[in-house]
Amino acid sequence: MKKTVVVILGVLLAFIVGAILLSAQGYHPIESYISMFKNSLLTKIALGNTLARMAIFIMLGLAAYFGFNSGVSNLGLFGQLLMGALVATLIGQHLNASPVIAIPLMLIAAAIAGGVYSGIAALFRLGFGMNEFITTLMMNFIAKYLIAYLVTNPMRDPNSQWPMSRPILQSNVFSRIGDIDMTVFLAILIFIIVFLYWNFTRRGYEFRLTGANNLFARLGGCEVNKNFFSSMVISGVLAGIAGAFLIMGSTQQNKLIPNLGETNASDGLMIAIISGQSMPSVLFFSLFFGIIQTGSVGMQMDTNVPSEFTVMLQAIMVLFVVAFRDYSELFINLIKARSKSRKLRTEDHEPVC
Amino acid sequence: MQAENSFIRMESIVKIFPPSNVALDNVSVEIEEGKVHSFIGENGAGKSTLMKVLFGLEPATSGQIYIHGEKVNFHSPNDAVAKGIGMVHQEFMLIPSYTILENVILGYEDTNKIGLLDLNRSRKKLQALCDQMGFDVNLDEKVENYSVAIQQKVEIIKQLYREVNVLILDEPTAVLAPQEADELFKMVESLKAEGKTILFISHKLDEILQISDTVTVMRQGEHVWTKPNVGLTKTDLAEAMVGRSVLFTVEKTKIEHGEPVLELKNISLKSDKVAGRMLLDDVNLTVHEKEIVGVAGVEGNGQYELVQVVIGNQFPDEGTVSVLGSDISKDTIRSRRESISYISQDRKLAGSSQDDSIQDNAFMSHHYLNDSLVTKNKILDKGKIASFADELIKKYNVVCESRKAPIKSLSGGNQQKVIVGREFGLEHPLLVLDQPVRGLDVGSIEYIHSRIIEQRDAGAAVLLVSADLDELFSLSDRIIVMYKGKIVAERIPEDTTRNEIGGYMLGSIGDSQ
Repeated sequence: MKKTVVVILGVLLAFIVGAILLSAQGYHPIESYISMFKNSLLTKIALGNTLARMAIFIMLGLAAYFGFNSGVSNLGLFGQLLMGALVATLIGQHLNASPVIAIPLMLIAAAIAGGVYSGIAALFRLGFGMNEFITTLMMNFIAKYLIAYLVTNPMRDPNSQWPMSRPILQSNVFSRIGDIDMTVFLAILIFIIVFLYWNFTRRGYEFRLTGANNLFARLGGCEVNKNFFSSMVISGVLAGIAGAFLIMGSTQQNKLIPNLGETNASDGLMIAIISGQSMPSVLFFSLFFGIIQTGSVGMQMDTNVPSEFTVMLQAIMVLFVVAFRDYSELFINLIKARSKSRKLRTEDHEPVC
Repeated sequence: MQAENSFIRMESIVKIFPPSNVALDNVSVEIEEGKVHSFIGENGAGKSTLMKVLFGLEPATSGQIYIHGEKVNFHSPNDAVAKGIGMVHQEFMLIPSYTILENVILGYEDTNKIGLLDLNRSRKKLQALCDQMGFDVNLDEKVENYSVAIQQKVEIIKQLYREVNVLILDEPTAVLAPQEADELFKMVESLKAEGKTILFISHKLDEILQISDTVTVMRQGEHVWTKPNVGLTKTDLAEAMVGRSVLFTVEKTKIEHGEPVLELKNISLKSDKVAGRMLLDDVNLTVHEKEIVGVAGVEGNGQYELVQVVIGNQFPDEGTVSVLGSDISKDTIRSRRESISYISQDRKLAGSSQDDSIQDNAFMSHHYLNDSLVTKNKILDKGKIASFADELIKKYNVVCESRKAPIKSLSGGNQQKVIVGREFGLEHPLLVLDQPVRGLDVGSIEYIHSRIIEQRDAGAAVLLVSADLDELFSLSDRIIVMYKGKIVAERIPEDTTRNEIGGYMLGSIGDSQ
């Protein structure tokens, strides 16, 4: 309960600070916010786009959440996402089969690619003691420049002016139900599976406790090394699926481009950080980030507020929610302590006088 | 109403650890100059907190401190040192790889005219101080090469070097063998003769009566009384500390032990830091069912490593570990946990996950050993886990809001009860207990001790490591003493004395054998 209040307060404050910044630059804050929500929720197409964005964020937020809360610092979401996207593109360009076979195959292959890529970092850690914090970050660069090379040279679409790959076959693109992309349903399904795994299995318990106190978990018989490896791989698998979504989603470009999903990956990290230890919050903030990012494009057209404003709004939100979470309790406790001390002193002094 | 000329006066000190944990409840106390003033109380009574407030380490929530009638306001220990107050903490604040000289002058270095270190001047000053105190050490030797008792003296010298005239000693004898404690008391006596004021924190009654001029008793954050040490008895102190009369021994009947449970054969473990040093040196030990074997030793003589080797956190270089006849030397912690319950000496870091709930903490190890808490499809049965946690809370009298409360919200004693409940609930044949009551109050200690005896009577083999000889004498069926990684003595408590065991702990007896 308290946590929900903290989150709502943090989000509200971020909007207030955002409003101050908007008006300081001569924009009309309320108009801008209305435009933002109108352009992300109130038309069918906008809502579809918002939810498709949400689906990507759910996968990436979950990937980062899973790692962080089981004691694994996977900063390599971007690289793992690119590997997933690369594999999905390669299969999607060439496999001309029934979508019932092709689409699951692309998803699974992308998941494996992401998992292998993060698994390498996990092995570096377990075998050579190399901190995954650094290796995953470095492996992002390898993936980034590998993709940049591929789309400017061997995989380049000859008909395009810019470096990008040819699109995947139209039959391999996700279909929609109404205006809602299939990735949305898939993301929610995966979220539910991960949620149940995390909360209702022995392994999930071990992940959680290992993340909270590694030594305690190890002495209690948890297989911390195996868990480290699995957690890293699961995190990479989720990021790899996000990569496939970015290629196969009906709202996406369906082709490999340089820097595909780079901001999405860092948004995923932010969502995991802002969610703390509450997995349902990942869902909430994924939707929220989806709303403001989709809305920002329409807002830019309606009010001239640059869409980059949302990046700032997101960052302020993370700062406020995280700061609130950590300090609200401290602050309330301090006030409680003060008043109790006053009470103790007056109580004890009365009989003396 | 207070004498204006009192030396140190602490008035109406309240300290509340947020949100509402009252550590000091309106405590007023006066300290006379040139006396040994002891503060006694159980763990959690507030004696250490009171001294930390005086030393400027913990800000008081409210209250005042006066020195010679002048109000002082310490924001940090540096302020206190400037007013001549020094403190020796339970955990030493020394840098092991620095020499004694470097440690002592750190932060108070002499410099020459152009601002460079003037080690010679410092050395002369320090040497003079050591000579005066009769403290014979090599100032250029690294601190880590000296025993705990010497390091403690270095800490005291360090304070004297800063020209303090009030010295706070926080449970100084907790880390010392009986003989070393006597040495320390001599040093305290000579400091007093020089006019220094010593504030001595302890919960050991004998030593309080031995060295104090004045005694202040604290209980649950409150000041019980302050009296001159004239005609006081142990019983007076104990009753004031606990608020009721206390048993000094646990009820324990003698029983015949059964078959061997834990067998260690020729266990050796080399130090990976110091070449040639043996942490465990050819250790042979058997613990039988229905038997408590106590391990005595000055900290750092292999007891910790012994425990780590048994539970599988470290692998010995040589030797075998067997439980119930099967060799487990190569087994992981996970598989050893199928027969070994373990309580670590570090409740917060190794024994629990502080931010997690009581339930999550109680469930550890049961999560894979106790199949009744999991459904056939290997799904956690939340209902059964909840009632498992509730039963533990009830059976072990854990005082808490609910099983969902984070374990850090409990007092130390209640946290330990959760841990004890979890480990004993595994119903394993072997219990490895590393200082299971460290830092707990008398009530919790009595309770946990009686549970340990109960486990023994039910058939468990118990390996008990403790730094407290009283605990070892009252619980153990057999006491072994470790010195420099070796077992140097094995005694039945009834046939030995604390002094004999102390002698073995220090290596002053037994080396010649």
